[in-house]
Amino acid sequence: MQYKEKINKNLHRISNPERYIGNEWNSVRKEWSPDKLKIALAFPDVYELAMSHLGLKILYHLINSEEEFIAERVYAPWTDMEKLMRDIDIPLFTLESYHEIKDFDLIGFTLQYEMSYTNILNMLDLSGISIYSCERKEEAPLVIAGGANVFNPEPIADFIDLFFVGEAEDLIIPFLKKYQQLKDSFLNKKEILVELNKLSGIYVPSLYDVKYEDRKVLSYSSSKTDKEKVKKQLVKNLDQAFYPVNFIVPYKDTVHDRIVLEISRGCTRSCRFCEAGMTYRPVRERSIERLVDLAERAVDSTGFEEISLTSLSTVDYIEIKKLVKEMNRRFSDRKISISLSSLRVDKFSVELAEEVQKVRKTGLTFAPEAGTQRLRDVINKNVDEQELYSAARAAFESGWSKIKLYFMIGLPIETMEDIEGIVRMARKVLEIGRQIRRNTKKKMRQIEISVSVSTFIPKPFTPFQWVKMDEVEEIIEKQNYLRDNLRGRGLNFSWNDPELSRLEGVIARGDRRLAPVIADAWKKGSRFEGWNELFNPRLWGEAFRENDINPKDYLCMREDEEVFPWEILDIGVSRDFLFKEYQKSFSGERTADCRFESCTGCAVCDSFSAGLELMSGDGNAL
Amino acid sequence: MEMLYRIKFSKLEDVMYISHLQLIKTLRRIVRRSKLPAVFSGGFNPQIKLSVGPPLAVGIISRGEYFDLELAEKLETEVIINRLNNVSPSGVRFIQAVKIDKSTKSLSSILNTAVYTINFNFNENLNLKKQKKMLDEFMKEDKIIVVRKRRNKADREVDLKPRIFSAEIVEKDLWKFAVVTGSRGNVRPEELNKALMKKYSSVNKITPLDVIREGVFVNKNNKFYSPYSDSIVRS
Repeated sequence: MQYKEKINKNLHRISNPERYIGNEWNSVRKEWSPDKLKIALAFPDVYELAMSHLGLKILYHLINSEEEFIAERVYAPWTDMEKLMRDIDIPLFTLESYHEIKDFDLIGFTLQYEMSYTNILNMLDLSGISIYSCERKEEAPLVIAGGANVFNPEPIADFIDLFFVGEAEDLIIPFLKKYQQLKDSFLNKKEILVELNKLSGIYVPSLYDVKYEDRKVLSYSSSKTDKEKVKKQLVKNLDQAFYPVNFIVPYKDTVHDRIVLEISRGCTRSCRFCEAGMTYRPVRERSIERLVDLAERAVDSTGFEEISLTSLSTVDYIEIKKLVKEMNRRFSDRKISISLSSLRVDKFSVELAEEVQKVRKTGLTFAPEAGTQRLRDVINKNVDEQELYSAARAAFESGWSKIKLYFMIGLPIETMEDIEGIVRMARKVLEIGRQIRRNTKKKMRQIEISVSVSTFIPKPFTPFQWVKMDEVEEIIEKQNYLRDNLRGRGLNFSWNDPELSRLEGVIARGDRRLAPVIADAWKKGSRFEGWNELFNPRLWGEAFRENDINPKDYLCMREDEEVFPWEILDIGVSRDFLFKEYQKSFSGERTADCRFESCTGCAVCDSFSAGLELMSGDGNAL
Repeated sequence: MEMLYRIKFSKLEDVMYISHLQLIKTLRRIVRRSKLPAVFSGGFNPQIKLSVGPPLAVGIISRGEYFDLELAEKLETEVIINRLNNVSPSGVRFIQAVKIDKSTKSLSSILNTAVYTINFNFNENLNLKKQKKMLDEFMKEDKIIVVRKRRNKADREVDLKPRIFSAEIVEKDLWKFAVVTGSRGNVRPEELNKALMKKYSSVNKITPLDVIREGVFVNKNNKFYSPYSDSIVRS
């Protein structure tokens, strides 16, 4: 309770004070004692986003389930809170015990978004910890990072002592035990890091030297370790893996203010733009029995009124219909609604949505991603235009009036025809809705189609890691066309800031030379770039210029043979597979899903001596 | 047969920072966790039937708030209180439940008075006698005008005088006011502070932490009743 009083005295002057009070139902407050290993779990954005993140929920409860460990939460303070903290000397503190971060043995950041990296630096600074690993004191907490964005750790390699690559459930506890043991044997930090780097899934960037030649990586070498590549970690048996039920119940509305049940992990649809689809392979499902048991216990423990069934592609869960039926049967009397985190573009999905929306009715979202069949084949997005229309028709007929459509612009080999296709599809869906509304006897609200168009960013470990990103002018031209043509009643168009997308693109495929740029942008005041109102491209422009770095070098087309900075990691999916997929995209040749057809040769199963874990009807793995 | 219970609770500690809407959500989730036989509203978005009294400003703790809860069966009121407290964060404490007739007027239609104690911090040492004199003079004013800032609207002058029902000094530096709240107007503690600062240079600005809402009441002929007292629920 170190800083509690000082913080409380001032919190009434701060916007959204609930972000900083902690003490929520189910938060874990353990007694502090010197013998316990303490880890601060950090999310580099505000409370509402942080509290919606599944990975941290799992880690928080898993680590706290061990007697000898304490895990507490710390999130990025909004700008007004930061100012207050700096003005009256309050260091960054955790929401459980209000201890400052320096009192912890480790601080672990989850990496979810490139544009929150300046927040990581800000959080370190607010903790009184040097932002560069090499300048950190011996007694400073170990700064570790992991999560979905760890698959290109290089832009922040100079700030992080150690990366945890891949899924953490099976390895985080042995890792912490090992760290405790090394600390107890009086090794210094450097020695400890060398030892930890021997563990699988652990990457200590300071042990590796990188040489660059012009734009490209020349070589990675190390005199301190013989581990050449860091292999990502994965949970082999998801059904038996740890999963929390006593979720924290926030006082403030969060993005996902509900029970989150992860029904499966991984996706093998092989959309060529999708990083998670490559880095979380193979597909593993949880059994219905296990999910029902988790749901029952979570409902008892939290009092939440909604259960969200989540995964990268929820509807692809083999027994999804049976699962949804079972969940509804159990929970509808208690007025607990079931929701699906994503839908496929087909009628089956609409029927399923209808099933889950028996209790509450919200909007429907479909993601065709591209406006023409040709381009959808290029990106391997298995959606047929007619299928979208019949799905939309089914949705309107069942009473939905709002549909959201997701598209991307800036995809490889894209032409204006593809952009026109977005308009055509959106207008057609609107027209279908209006026709049904005119002819129905039921009461129906005005039809509303929201068209959300993001800008494609080439991501590491995808078949599109080689491609060039659109220039700002091209993005603006396409967005202008869409804005002009998606006007009028019933149509809503939303888009991303092109400069922000480009910057995200630079960091996504960046290397260690970006560290001083990120550091300088932060020093100039850059924070919360993901929040449009706070993004300032001018600060970044200055930071690039002053460090003599041309952002275009990171956005250009990459050579077939070149070594990528992120290839210090091994995700199990072979480079050959990614390259073949890249080449198949030129001719629009499709790749099937190995769950339903034959193996596509991505090599992940061999690489981990693992396999698909799909649940058949009787709940056994197929 | 559905039963209606009027329940008194306190909003303490950090929970003072949560808004009225969030408080309602928190109460609903507490009721769910307690597994009391709650009754749900109909429609597309069924909710636990529960209604809360007049909102409390963010940052102020309260020792006496109320909500009405419908249950599907009759239960001992102690059982209700215990079951709620067992599954509630420490900042929300349930104090008493009273079974009331279903036809009883709603909390929002009868609760019209809030009692606040304010811990003043004077910039000179004023003894009890002096403070009493100050309060007397303050209350003898014909009008107590403050400027109220309104969102998206022009500022407006408000006369607090008819909106203050009573005032007294509990002990040195601790002043107590009963003021109007609810649908027929609302006096905020910081407005009392503002008016006092205008009149006396010795009064300093308060923060929400200097204020406690002692409770909300029904004002009947200048007598204050709790919303489940006999003379209120029987009338």
